[in-house]
Amino acid sequence: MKNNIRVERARARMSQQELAEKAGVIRQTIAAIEQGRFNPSTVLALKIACIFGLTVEQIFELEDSDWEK
Amino acid sequence: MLPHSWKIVGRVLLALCLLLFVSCFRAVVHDMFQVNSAQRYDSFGAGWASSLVVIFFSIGVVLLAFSQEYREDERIIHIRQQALARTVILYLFVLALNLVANLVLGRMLSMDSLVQVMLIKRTFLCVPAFILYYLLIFKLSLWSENKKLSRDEE
Repeated sequence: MKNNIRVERARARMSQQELAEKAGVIRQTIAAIEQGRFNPSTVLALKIACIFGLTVEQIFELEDSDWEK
Repeated sequence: MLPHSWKIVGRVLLALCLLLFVSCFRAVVHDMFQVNSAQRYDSFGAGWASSLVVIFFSIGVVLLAFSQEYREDERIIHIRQQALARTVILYLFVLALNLVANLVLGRMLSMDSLVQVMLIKRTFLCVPAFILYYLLIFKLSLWSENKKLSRDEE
């Protein structure tokens, strides 16, 4: 699953630490999500989308490989 | 999961365990590998020392393993679950290896000896050792993940 959290963070002039604190997670979790190393739970994905004022679909996007699992 | 502060108690217990182990090394090691209690090292306090080492070790690793990290979120929980799964597989592999080794050496494996192997007498297979494996795998996984994140961020 890919995402554009980094782009939205830059747009909102927000650091990973700030986003992490607002979402109630640690900074490394946000970094892991941005790098595609960790898929967030539904609640966390909704929180991140809410923080940026966007929908989950505008932040996260399924890839072809996700359908193969 | 226990609150983070219980890790301090776990560390203290493990420190005490190490202290006792070092001070009564010969007696403790001899005791730990004796199946028959009559063959325990016959020295003043040695039996108590080995029992205390096992008790402190057991409680200490349980507290360390099942206390929360300083900051714990869903990613940490995910790493914990993966570490637990890997520990179960490793433990079953070591157990199977031990069973095969016993059969190859010609010993007939009874349920009593299997229980002894599982519980206390064979230190590397006992339940506290299982928890120690989990703790090591979890910490290693966490360190490895954070290192990969730092490297990719650079």
